[in-house]
Amino acid sequence: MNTIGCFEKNDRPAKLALRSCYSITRILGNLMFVIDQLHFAYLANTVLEIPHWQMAQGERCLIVGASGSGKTTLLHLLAGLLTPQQGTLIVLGQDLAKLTPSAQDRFRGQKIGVVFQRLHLVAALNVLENLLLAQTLAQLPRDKARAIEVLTALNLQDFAEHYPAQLSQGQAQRVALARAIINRPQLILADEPSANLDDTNCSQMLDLLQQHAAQASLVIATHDQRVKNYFQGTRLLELSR
Amino acid sequence: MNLFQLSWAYLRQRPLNTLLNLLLIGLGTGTIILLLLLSTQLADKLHRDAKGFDVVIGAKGSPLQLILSSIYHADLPTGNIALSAAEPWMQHLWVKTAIPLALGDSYQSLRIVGTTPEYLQHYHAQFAAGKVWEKPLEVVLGAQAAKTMQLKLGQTFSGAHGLSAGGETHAQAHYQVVGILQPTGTILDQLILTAVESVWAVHEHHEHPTEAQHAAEHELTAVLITYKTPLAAISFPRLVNAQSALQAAAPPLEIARLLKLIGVGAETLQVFGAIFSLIAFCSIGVALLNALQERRYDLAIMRTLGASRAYIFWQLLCEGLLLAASGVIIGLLFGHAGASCLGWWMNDPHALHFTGALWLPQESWVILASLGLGIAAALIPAIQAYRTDLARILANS
Repeated sequence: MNTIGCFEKNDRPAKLALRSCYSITRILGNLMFVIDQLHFAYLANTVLEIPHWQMAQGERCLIVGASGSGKTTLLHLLAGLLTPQQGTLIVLGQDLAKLTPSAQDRFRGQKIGVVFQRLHLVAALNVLENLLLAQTLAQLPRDKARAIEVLTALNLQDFAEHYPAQLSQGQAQRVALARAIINRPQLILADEPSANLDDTNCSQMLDLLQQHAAQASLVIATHDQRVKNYFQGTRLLELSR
Repeated sequence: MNLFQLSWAYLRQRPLNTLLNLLLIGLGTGTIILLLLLSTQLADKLHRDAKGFDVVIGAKGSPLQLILSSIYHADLPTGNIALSAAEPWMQHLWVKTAIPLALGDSYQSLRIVGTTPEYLQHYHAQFAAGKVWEKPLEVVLGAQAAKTMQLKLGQTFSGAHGLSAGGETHAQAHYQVVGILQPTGTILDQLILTAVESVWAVHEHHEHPTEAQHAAEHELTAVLITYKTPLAAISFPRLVNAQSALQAAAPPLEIARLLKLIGVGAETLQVFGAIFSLIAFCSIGVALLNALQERRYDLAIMRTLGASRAYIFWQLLCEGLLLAASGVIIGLLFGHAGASCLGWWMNDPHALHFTGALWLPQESWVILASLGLGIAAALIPAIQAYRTDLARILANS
């Protein structure tokens, strides 16, 4: 069995033995998430194990490691797309495993924004509709003004009626970011956001991430040196095989 | 961005496929609805014209021909019968009313029917103008006939021998219009009605001297009979057929026979319509399954954005339902417009007046069945989408 070790650099001293989500909520109300004794096996013989990891609200963190080291899986766990097989995972004071599946979906839609390696814009919808869809799916009221506001902030106001196929790579990446931030999430998860981007688009993308995630916590999974350089000095969580 | 908008966006994304499926469902349900409309109206019309007549007496021959010629005025008569032979039956104990018909002449393809005023009363005819005939050679026009002939009260015309256009004109005998009927929605509208004596007068006058002795005996074409008692239905036709040179035919039986003959054709076409629809719904199911493959990232992203499994499930069902509903609307338009076109196209006085401005209760069943099939077609893709492991899809991307 191939076990994944977890090393935290730049670690803070706080390492609490956490046993129940109630105590966590009470003691650590300002924590973004807490992972304790997390165990997740996937792809038959690969195991992701994280003894302890936590992040405060508003903090930034990079998850680094070779491909196949479980970066994406960890992000999916944080997003509640996967459920840990053992251990605790508490996001914003909420033990995701204790929510019903549909409550998990709603929680994810409203509190967490995700930017994927590939963009995954809905091709049948135009840019504006893609953003409105994000509001609907999070069960938030339809707010076209907010959508326009986000598009304008990302300099996409002229592309509201365009379909994804009509956008350049950089524009599409910005739309994906707009969709991730439209519901004002408290946690933004980005999975290889710089993949498929040239240097110019990459640094523009990272600027925007940095800028628009100002009020949110930001977790970026990457193995791109450009991203590591950009976020130099930021907390790193290094996963290895 | 509600479910319908999203589903509509997906349908719009593959316009050709959507169009093809809409056409298939439209054609399928449209055919079924068109045939429903036509066969219902035909049966309705047949029953309306024959309503109240229990049996028809005429010359021996095909009973269906006798009914068609005497009730619907759509076929040639089986022949003439002697008044003296018919009279005993007309005055029979079981007979309530017996309306004589004497056919033989026409005007512009409209039949001149010698009868008694009871024939008008039977169809509850009201006069739009004038009154009923009082002496031979006075005629009353059915509403449609009056429109076709464009004659007014007091005007005269000569009938032509035979029931189809092109017969020899009885130039000596001038019919005079004394009454015009309001529309009744029955065969009466398309007839020129007069006294039986008129027909006799025209032909006796016209006949060759050598046939004079035959002409001396008055003839009828058919007698329309209503029973006093329903029990007569069992024995009366048998009596007539056995004891005389005449034939008795019961309209309900002949209509049933006729509708059965037409019904075979209509049912065959309806089966084709149903097969069309079934293929269309299979096609929807396959299209959705294929789309699912293309859209697995969309489904995953929607889940990531907060959509529940149920939402994904409903979204696909909604797409099937939307297609089915649009297809059915096209089918309804097609069926009703088709019936109207047919009515307009066959707009001659002898034809049935088909209309599309009619709603049948059976149509609701066609709609419900189509929507149900639309849901059924989307069910397998929807279940598959529901079961999709989204983390795996995202991990593989």
